Amino acid sequence: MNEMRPPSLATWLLAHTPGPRNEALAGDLLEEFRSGRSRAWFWSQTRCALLLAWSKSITLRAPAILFTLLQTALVPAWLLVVSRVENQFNLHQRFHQMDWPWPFLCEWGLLLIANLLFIWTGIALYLVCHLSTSGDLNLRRFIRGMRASLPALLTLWAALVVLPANFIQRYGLDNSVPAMHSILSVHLAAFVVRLPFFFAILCTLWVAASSQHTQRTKAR
Amino acid sequence: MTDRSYLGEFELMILLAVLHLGDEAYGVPISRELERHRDRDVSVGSVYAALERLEAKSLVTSTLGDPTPERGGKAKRYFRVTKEGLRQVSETRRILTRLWKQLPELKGEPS
Repeated sequence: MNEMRPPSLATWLLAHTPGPRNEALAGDLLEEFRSGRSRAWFWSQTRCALLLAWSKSITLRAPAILFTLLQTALVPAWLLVVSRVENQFNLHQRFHQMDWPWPFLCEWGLLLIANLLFIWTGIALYLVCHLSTSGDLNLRRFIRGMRASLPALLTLWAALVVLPANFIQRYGLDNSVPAMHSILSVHLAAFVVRLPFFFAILCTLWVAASSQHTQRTKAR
Repeated sequence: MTDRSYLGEFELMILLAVLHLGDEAYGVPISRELERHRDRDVSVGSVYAALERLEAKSLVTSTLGDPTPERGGKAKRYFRVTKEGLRQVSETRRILTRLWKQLPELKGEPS
């Protein structure tokens, strides 16, 4: 009998793999390992289990992923609408008449509210479509996912858009460094600006889909 | 005509292994049984994935056993074939047997 401990990283990965039957699977692998199987065998089995679990997880969430991609494609158009509304009401000028830090807070706060409105409207639309097709929904989980989308959006928006934009403007890098022209190309910017939205929407729908799958499995 | 979903090759093998093992049908012996007959390694994860599909189709049921120290305190999950599962296995056997009987002896077939 193999008294050695199985690879701890593999064990940890198995314990944190999505799926309702992982405890029994982990127990089986440990039983086989202790009966004489090698560490290489354990790793091979873990890789296979992870691949199956994650591919099933992604398949389960295929509609959510597709919806997220479609909604994210509309982000540049939405930001254009927001920009036009700001210009129409001269919001930039009004904000800059205030004392610091209010211009910064108002400008980015307004953008944050507008972006959340875009995200949550899309999620509400997905909710309606989901209800009309499958009829099962855990509203509490959806709301929890929507709340989870807020830090995801804030963090990624700050890291990918706000900080780089302020850094580039502050140090005048957009004109002084020629390489910045390629980095600041429209296509790259359009891709980067979509990322916070993509992960925020996906975060919400991912959490909601996992709760529905867990409910269905427990019901059996 | 009633809608029937036919068993996949791997699903059929798993059902037969579960039937053969009786009360001791859980992940480890099922995988070992398949390895013994297929003469190659079987992924325990793929066995569980197939069992999940079979359970979703109500062809097997599962119950949780007691946790044991040699399994790190993790319980075994035992599987049993349902009446519907047994019916589908029998139906598949009948169809395959009929199809095989129609074939002449295949060239290169091991004797």
